[in-house]
Amino acid sequence: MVPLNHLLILGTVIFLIGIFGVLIRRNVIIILMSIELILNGVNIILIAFSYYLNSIKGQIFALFIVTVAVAEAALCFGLIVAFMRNKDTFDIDQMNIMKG
Amino acid sequence: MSLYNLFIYFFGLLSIFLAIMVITRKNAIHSAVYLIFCILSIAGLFFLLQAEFMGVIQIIVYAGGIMVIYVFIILLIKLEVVKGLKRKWEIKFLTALIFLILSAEIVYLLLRGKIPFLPKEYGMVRGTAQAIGSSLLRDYLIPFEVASLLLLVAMIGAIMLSRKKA
Repeated sequence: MVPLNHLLILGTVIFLIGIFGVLIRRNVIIILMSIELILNGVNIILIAFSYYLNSIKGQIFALFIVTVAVAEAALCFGLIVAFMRNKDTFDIDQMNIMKG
Repeated sequence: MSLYNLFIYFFGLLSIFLAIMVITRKNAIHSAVYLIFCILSIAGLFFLLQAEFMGVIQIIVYAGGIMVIYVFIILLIKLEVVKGLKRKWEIKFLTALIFLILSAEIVYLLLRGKIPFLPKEYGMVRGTAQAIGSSLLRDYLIPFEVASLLLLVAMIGAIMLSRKKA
């Protein structure tokens, strides 16, 4: 059987790849996809713990995370459409109206 | 190494590879396709970890719902706007350095640490639809209702944000 630590490493690495994508990309859509990767990494860790601790609670929590991901995707697309209407670009560096 | 372990490592390495491809592609539609396959391989991992319901939800809701919205949005906009938006290499280099240090630290700690509270026997609970449903409607009824409220708020918010100013 696979040790729990390897699954935790897998979830952490996918989480960190998502954070890396948020930091290095300028395209808003790819940044949103990286956020999905972050949520998936957390889901892997929750389900691995659910398997190794003989408890269903981790899977319930993962289900709620999927719900939040759906809500986030819908809201972010509303934001992207509003942003496209104002600036006509997908460059996140153009979101600078509030810069000090 | 049994076939079961082999499949878990296969799906894990595949999902890491596909996740790296997601964040390095130039064209957003390629990233979206790689993300779909990454989500599918993570769903395979969920099936192997006896979380059947979560695997099905992952395929239906993520790969079938969210990713279709992504592909739809990418197809709706002009493609030349999407291509070729990258950071300067100094920023990339610094970010990669910090990322490598962080991940090396976490992987090192997880490789050498032991988790003390694990029971001797594991994999006893199967996440079937029946088990998830009865737990959701018995013990987690209020969070379930709050989640429906959250989806309602997200729907109204998306409509408010994306309509034109009257």
